[in-house]
Amino acid sequence: MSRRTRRFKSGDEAGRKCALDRLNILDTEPEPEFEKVTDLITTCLDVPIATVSLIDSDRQWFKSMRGINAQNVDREDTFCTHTIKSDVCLVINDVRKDPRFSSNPFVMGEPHVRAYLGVPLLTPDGYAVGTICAIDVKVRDFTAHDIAMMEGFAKIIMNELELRTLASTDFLTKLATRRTFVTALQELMDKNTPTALLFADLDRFKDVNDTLGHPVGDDILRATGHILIWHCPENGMAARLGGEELALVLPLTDGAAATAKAEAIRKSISEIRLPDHPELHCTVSVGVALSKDYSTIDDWMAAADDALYWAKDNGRDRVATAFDTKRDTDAA
Amino acid sequence: MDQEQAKASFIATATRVASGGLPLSFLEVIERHVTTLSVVINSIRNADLDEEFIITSIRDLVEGYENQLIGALKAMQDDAE
Repeated sequence: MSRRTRRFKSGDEAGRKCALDRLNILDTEPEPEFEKVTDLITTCLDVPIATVSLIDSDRQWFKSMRGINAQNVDREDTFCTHTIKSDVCLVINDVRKDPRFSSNPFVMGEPHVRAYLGVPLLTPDGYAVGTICAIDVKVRDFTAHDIAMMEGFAKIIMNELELRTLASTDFLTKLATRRTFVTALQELMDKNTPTALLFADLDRFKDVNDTLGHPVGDDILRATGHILIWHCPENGMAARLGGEELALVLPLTDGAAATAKAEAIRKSISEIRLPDHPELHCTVSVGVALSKDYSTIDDWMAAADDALYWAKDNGRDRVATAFDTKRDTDAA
Repeated sequence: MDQEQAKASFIATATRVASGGLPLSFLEVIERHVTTLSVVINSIRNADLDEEFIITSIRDLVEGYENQLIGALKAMQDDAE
């Protein structure tokens, strides 16, 4: 039995779901990196069924599978839902002798599971977001070697996912990168999801870098990143587009709610205080535009940008919207 | 490609990455993967499998991760530009 992960977070379903969403992997196409692992499991453990699964709120979604033909199954009934309740593997050599699973629909019916070895896919911050599993239709005696191999495969998958996440995250602010942001924006527009877009630009940030130095500027960017993440809803995305340009994507948000959110962010940023520079007063200008008013993301982003620069040109430290002819909300 | 070659390949990749001044967290993920890969390769070797399958599997694992790494680096370079 492997050692327990010290940071394993059990019972925090909301946090687990956020960790899963951060991976941006649900409902993506098959990929060779994952196919390779299921192939290895079937051969190395000599099993007819192997899967790499992610456990969503209400379903188990298969990123890769061998020996079964489903894309999703109801999470309620699955063995893997039990596997993610712990940070160690779940080994059942004969499911008919296990009262938890003996009458399970996947035991009683197709694919007639008889033996199961599942290992949780653990994120670095301790959430079990999915599983890899080896399934047999006959009784097995899974060995310590089998378990060690499966744990290794699970780590390989998570290392690869972590690499992707790092590559799509701005190292300084921990916000999404511009590329990730544009991809998400395009997906939302393709799906016709009514979405609000906030562009934010720190006011006179160059002066801070020039007078106090880049380390201080970096501290402000980090603090701003925390604020954006704090204000970002579970279904949204906060991004650093470059320099001091930031963005927040708010799906299923109308103009009034988006403007209120932008105003809250503006206020939070104005409250940033650096212990070594208490005299420093940060402000931000924000532009807001709604997807429903545009047919391309270029037009949508340009509108948010126009609103942002209207805010800049009209005194900074304020929110302006692309959809309100009055444009300016209450300035600070 | 045997285990030593796989390790050497990764160390070379990690060194190239390090010389580019990438953040420590990125290097840590690579180092962790090298360690994991060594363990998994040993497991596969000890699984009493066909030698050709073992060689192919190791190559797939190493090349697969190198592709991931190259993709990640390219993405980061694009973002930096």
